Amino acid sequence: MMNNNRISSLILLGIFGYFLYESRKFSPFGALFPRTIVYILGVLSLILFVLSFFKKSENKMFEESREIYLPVLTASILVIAWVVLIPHIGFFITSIAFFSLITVFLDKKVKKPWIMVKRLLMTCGLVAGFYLFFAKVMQVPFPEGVLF
Amino acid sequence: MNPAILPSILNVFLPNNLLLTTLGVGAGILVGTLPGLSATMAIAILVPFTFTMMPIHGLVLLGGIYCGAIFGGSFSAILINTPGTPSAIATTFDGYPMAKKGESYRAIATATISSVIGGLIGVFFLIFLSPLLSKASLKFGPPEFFWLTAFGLTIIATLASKSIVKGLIGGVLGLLLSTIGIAPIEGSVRFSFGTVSLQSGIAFIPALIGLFCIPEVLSMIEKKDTQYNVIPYKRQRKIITRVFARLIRRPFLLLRSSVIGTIVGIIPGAGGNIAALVSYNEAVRASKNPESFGQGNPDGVAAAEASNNAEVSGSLIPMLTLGIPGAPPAAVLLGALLLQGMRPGTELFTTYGEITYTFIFSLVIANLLMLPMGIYSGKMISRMITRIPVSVLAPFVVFLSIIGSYSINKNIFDVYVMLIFGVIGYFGRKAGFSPGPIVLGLILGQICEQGLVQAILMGRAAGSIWQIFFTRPISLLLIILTVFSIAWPIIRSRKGKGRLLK
Repeated sequence: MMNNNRISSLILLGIFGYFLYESRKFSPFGALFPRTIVYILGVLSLILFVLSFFKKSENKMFEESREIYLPVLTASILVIAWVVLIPHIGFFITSIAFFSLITVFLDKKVKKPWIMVKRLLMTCGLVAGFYLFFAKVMQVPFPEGVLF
Repeated sequence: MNPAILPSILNVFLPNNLLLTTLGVGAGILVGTLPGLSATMAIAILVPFTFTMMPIHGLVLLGGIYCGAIFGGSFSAILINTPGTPSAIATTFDGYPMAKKGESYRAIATATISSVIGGLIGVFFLIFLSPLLSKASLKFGPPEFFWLTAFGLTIIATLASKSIVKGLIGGVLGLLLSTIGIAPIEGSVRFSFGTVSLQSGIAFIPALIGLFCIPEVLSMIEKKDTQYNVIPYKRQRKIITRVFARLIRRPFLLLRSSVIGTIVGIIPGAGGNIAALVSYNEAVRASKNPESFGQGNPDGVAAAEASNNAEVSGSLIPMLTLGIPGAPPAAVLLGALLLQGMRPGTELFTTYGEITYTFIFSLVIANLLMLPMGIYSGKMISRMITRIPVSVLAPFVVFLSIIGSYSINKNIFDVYVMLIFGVIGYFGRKAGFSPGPIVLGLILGQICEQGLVQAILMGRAAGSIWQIFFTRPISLLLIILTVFSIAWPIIRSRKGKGRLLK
């Protein structure tokens, strides 16, 4: 199995190739700094690639169990859906819905319903309080939706 | 002595001014604690309200907010590894590891006392050295800015404690990301991936929130515990006395960090984040135990906090004397001055002497007020955070991250940027890449590129590019510091080996 450093260096070499290719269109002064940086990135990625054959990576990126990645993946999907839906449904409603959903998802082991109800109420209170503070006091105009 | 000084000292203690300073510091701490809400934003929002106030009242309020916000950034940096303001980036390096060891309150107490001392030293410089230091700042041209950023980038060696190659790659990636958008010279649109929103570059704050905040939330979820037990709050006796005694035994750490903060503050364009990073690096370099930094060494918190609070007064020196703000919040304060019909320069210290000196002395009060406010609110926030269940804390941090990223430009695209950087930060951390060097590259990239390209143009016009980079006195000093900064870890490791052989 490939170690983390080798995978990382290959991804970085891909970034090096893409940015170098893109930089061909820039004006001479516009390309000067990014191209220098891209070459340095290429050299460092190669060093990391070579080192990956001699030194074993201590980090575990692709060896962790499903047990760890599944809740992370589920929470990530919920967060992405939260952000994507904000412009369509509105900031307040989306935040109440997804804040509560994530709380319920992470609280699935809590067996007493009153604890869950207490946490959901805390969630609604926090969202409402911060929404009012930012929207009304700090005058941040959030995307409007169904209700607000 | 300026005749306005004595009445100004008395003005500061008038009930109205004391109340406004207290309100300003309190509001500033609140704003600073919330990631994404910067001191600049808080001052900018309040400037129109101060228009109807008397100039003294308005300035005193805004000064309190500025001090409080820069200090407040340390709370979230320590407790949830998310710098509340960019100035608190370096505070996360040791503050959060301290919190993870159950020393959150000790870290907050260290941050509070160091911030107060740093802030007071900064005000001292503001009062006595304004004219002298502001002249030096005017000598900074593009080559000096280029070398200043080169010196700043040497901090990567300190930040990348585990792998220097990965640290360098992180820094280079940050520099590369900073080139996204319109080029400073000739205006080519670079690496925008066909997106209009990227033409103005990557918004720094959303990227910062994403890199620091989202990986933390995901790692909270990874752990199966229901309580945020990575930062258990340990009750400790006489903690303030012990922290104070520890800091008093390190006068050079605080003095050096405060002086660095003031000097960086004076230089236009270099903000509290650079001040704190440079001071942190110097604290590591001067330490007999450098490997303890990044693992929860209180000296790291002290260096960063003393420096970023000293930077507040530093940034006001060129603003008050020359009309050149040293940092973005100072630029907004300049707007507040102009709104009141006061023009920076000698007139401020003569015609408007009483107003100006009242404002300056109110910063002393603001810094002193941070002590009780920081210590009590710190204890409260520290206890509160550790009692909130992960199921509420994790989505709450995401909620704050969304608000923080959105509120800067009121653009949903910035929230997407925050999420993308969050994913990069999460997988980067798994692969052994720390977010510190990436953020450093992102901060310094634009200043570095602008300095480099403008210096080359200046060199071409003068007939020699090398001369412009290598012969100017401040540039030479910065080159020496850069070389020394790179060579020092090697020298020290050799010295260490020598000691071991003995």
